[in-house]
Amino acid sequence: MGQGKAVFDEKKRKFDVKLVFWLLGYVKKHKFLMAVTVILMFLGALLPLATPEIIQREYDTYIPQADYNGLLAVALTLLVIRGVLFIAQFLQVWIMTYLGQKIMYSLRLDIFSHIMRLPKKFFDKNPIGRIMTRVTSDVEALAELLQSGMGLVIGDSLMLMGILVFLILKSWMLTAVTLLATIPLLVLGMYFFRRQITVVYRKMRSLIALINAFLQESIVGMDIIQLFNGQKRQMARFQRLNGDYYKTTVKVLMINGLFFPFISFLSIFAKAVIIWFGGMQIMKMTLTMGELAAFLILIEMFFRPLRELSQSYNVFQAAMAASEKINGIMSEEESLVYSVSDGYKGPLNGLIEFSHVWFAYEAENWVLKDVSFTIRPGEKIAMVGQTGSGKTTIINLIGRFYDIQKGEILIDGVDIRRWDISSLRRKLGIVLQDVFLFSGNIQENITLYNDNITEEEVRSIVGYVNAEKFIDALPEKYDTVIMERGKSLSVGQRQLLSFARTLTYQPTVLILDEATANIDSETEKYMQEATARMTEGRTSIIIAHRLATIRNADRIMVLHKGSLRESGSHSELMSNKGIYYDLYRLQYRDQEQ
Amino acid sequence: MWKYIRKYKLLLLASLVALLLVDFSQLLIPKIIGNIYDGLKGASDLNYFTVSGLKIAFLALLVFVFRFVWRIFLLRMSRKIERDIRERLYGKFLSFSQHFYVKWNTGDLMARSINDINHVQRMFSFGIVSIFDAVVMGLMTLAFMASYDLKFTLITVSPLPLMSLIVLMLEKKIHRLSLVVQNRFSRLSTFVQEDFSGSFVLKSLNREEDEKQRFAAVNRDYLANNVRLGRIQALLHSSIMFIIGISNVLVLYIGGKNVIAGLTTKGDLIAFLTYLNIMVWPMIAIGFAINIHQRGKASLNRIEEILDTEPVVKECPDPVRVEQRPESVAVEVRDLTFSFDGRKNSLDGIDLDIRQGETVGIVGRIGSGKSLLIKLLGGLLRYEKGTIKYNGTDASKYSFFDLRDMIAYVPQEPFLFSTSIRENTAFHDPEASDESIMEALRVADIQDSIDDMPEGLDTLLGERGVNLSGGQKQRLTLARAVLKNAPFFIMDDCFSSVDTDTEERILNAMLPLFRDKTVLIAAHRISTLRYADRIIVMEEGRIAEEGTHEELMAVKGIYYDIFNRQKLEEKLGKE
Repeated sequence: MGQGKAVFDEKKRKFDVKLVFWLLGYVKKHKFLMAVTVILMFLGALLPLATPEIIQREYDTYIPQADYNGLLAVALTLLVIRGVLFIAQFLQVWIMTYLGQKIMYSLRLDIFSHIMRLPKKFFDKNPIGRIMTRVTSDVEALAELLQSGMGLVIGDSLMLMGILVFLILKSWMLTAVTLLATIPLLVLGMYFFRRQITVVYRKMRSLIALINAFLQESIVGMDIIQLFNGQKRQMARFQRLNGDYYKTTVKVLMINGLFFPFISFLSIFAKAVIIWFGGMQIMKMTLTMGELAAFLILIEMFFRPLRELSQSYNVFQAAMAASEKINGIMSEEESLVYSVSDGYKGPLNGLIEFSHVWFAYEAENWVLKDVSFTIRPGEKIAMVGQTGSGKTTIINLIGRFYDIQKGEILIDGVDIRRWDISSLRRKLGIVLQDVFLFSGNIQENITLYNDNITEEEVRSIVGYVNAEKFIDALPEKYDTVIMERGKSLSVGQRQLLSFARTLTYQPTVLILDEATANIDSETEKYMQEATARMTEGRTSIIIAHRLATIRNADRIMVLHKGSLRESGSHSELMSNKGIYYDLYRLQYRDQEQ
Repeated sequence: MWKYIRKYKLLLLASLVALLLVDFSQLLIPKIIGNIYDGLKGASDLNYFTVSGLKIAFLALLVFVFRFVWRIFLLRMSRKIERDIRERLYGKFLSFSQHFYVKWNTGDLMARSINDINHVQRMFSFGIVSIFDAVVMGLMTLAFMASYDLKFTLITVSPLPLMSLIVLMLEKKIHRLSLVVQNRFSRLSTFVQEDFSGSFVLKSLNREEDEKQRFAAVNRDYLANNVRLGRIQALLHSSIMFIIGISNVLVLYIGGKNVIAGLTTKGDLIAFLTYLNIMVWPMIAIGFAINIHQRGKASLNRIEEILDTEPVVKECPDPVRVEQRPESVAVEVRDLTFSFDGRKNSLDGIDLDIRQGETVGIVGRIGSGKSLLIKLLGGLLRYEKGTIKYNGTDASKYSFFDLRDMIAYVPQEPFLFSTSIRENTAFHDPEASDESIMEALRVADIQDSIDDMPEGLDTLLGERGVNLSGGQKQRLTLARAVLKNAPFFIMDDCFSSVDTDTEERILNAMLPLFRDKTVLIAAHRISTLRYADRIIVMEEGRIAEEGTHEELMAVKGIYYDIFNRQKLEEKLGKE
């Protein structure tokens, strides 16, 4: 998989046949349009070839014979051809754009939904910025190839072949001489160009990645740079990097600067050869003047697609690199939860059993060690323990966001791995401490864009969780757009929103990670009330930080360093004078006063 | 636009002259070919063909040379402009304070420094060529044609005005649609960014399928606009070709008649047709130019948005002169008030005096304003109200260099560059000797770990090198400040990832260093503050309590609570 590092871009890119077939799979879905495009391309490539023929006829027949009708016929034919060509070219470019975009659309959608189905582990490991580029810029690079590149290659190759046939038909001798004089030079030029340009392009890409990283680092660490008076030195380093990049681009433009003019040199040189050799043939009466004229136009036409083809090499390089990266992410394995066929669909009652569960995020680094417990439907559990004791992990496991290594998790007596994941998660309401808000408005953040939830439902739930007051105080109430990921809302307000969001999906089991950060006392009161209401009659597991939550729990589970150490009611645990006793005194002393 | 080019007008001039010569040489070729036809009628001899062939070959060589010349001159100019703009942008970044970075996304800034500059570079290279080529080549071709036969030329080019009409009509549409497409693309990428960041929420609420549908809508919108743009581009391209085609038809028909009537020679007709063929490129170039130009202009606007932003914290134009770095610093803060963007005050009327050589500790919860106070003392932010004085002089009267030269700062979240350990430690002075670097590393208690690394001080950090643990990073940032050895030492809760024993060792090693220095140390753990002469307790942007450890314990306020809580925690940790 692409590591996104500058250094790794140095590796050699080979043309991968498998990648091409994978891409062709997408093209196949649009067979009809593809066929139409190819026909239009044929038209677009062949029709212009008629022009030299027509000119030759005018020259060799109609003008010498002073045939005005012939002239009119020539003009009309050409007009019709141009008209057809106009329509063909317009349709071809349009359809090609449409086709390319359509393919990109399905590709993008496939990549998106594939990524959404990747296990949580994947998101833990890979920075979002890098994953994003797979759906955005990498797909763009492919679109460029499909839209302009592919059309160019197919169209130009057809054109080249067609012109070649015409040239040979006109005069195989002249064709042979012209090609012999130019093609070996072209091949030689191409060979050197390719070798040189690949090397510098790679260097250019790694340098731009370095500049990228340097910029990112500077922007993030700007206060350090300024406090250590490092502006001048950083500027010097940036200038060096930027200067290296500049030098490489100059190398690129020198190579391109030699190659592209070289091709246009060849196209003119070819004409010189034709005139010299063609002249000899005319002297020998084996060639007519009209044929020579047609030949000259054809050779001009021959070099144009050649020039275009050589320029599209860069597009190819970029597209191949992009498809490699996309293919890399597509071969990441999707989370197993989606491959449960005919799974148990509930309805969820809320019986949760952990039996000798061992779990590690990374090999052998056990986060949960032999944890066993049973939570009965309707029970209210408070989970306490220090950071790193495994509380959050248990929440993750109940929603099957990870699979355990040893032991068994049963939900309603059914192995969690046999559950149909959407039936399970639909009835599982998880509220995280760190509430993630989307950039929509309040209403959208509560319903998560589910249009089936009516405004009345939202209002009533919002009232239920005590969020009414703060939402009504917002300038545009439910239509207030949340800025900068909700930094304008307090932690408590964000949690109330999250309560509402969870309740709109009517969960049977409620899992709640209470917020720890400073919450003003008013919001705190609201949250407590809301929590009490929400847990009423529901199986609930709360990672508790608040005294009231713990007091109201049916049972308290104490986790310590990945093991379940104590379990029981508040008074039972207090009289034990164990970990809970210490923790309680540590955390809630001042609240009790 | 001109202001970016002005510096390189010679390069531009040279390349335009070369381009002119290329166009001119190319236009001579049809003339030679046409002459062959007409010359043929007179003396038909082989030499004529050979000489013409040689002439064309020579022109081919000229075209090659001049083409090479314009390319390297003009492209070099555009690359120089690209380099300049990027450098200016970076210089701007260096001058901005945190006010700017709170508002702008890192990703956005990077996009502007790379992608947008690329579009601008294209505008300054191929954009210029396309326009110039289209105009010069077009006009020259017309001139050549007119030199043959003015009337015939006028007839031939009569359909061309139609084209300017089409271009005029489509140009605005292309501009508008390009903007829409760019805009839709950023919407797409924002969507993806958000959904991937919030994937856990979406999964736990079972929204994968629904999000796919919502993404499909955004995706479709992008597609629709792209296709719309593509259709207009297709229309532009094919109409240009068609109009040229009409000219072709006219040439063949009227020209044919003229030849028969003896008004035009056969050779002229061929030349005319060749010229028309040459006209195809400048016409297509107009389409190109429109595209490149519109995009480049939009990107340049985005870049200039940053270039035109004035830094919030400005350096004093006539700063006080500091001959030598002072040995120690007395700090005097009066009524310091600060808030981000007029929100509720994050710091509210802080008064604080620190004597030369004094060590002051700050405690307080997250969000109490500790870090903010420290940033303000370092001159990283501008405050609305109040004064900060160093050794009796207002902080804003010092030059940036002198002010920051007095401060050694250790951040809360360790920030290191992905360079070598040596460069990181000696960040303020690349000339520092190995001995002094090693000594600083020893004080920060990280010398041993670095000795274990195969490349020692030259070990690279970050993506390309080793990944240090949180504690190691904190100690390295500490070493960086120790090496700077400035009179005012500021530490912002920088022991959070270091265990208490190590912390004790480090503090002991730093003690002799701190003897004459003014030290401000913010801490989460109260044990960190045992060497402080005085402790201030911050709460909601104010100083709530102030005094020595004993005094504060006697008050039985916030400090007392925190202290007791931490003692219990310690007990629990040992269990």
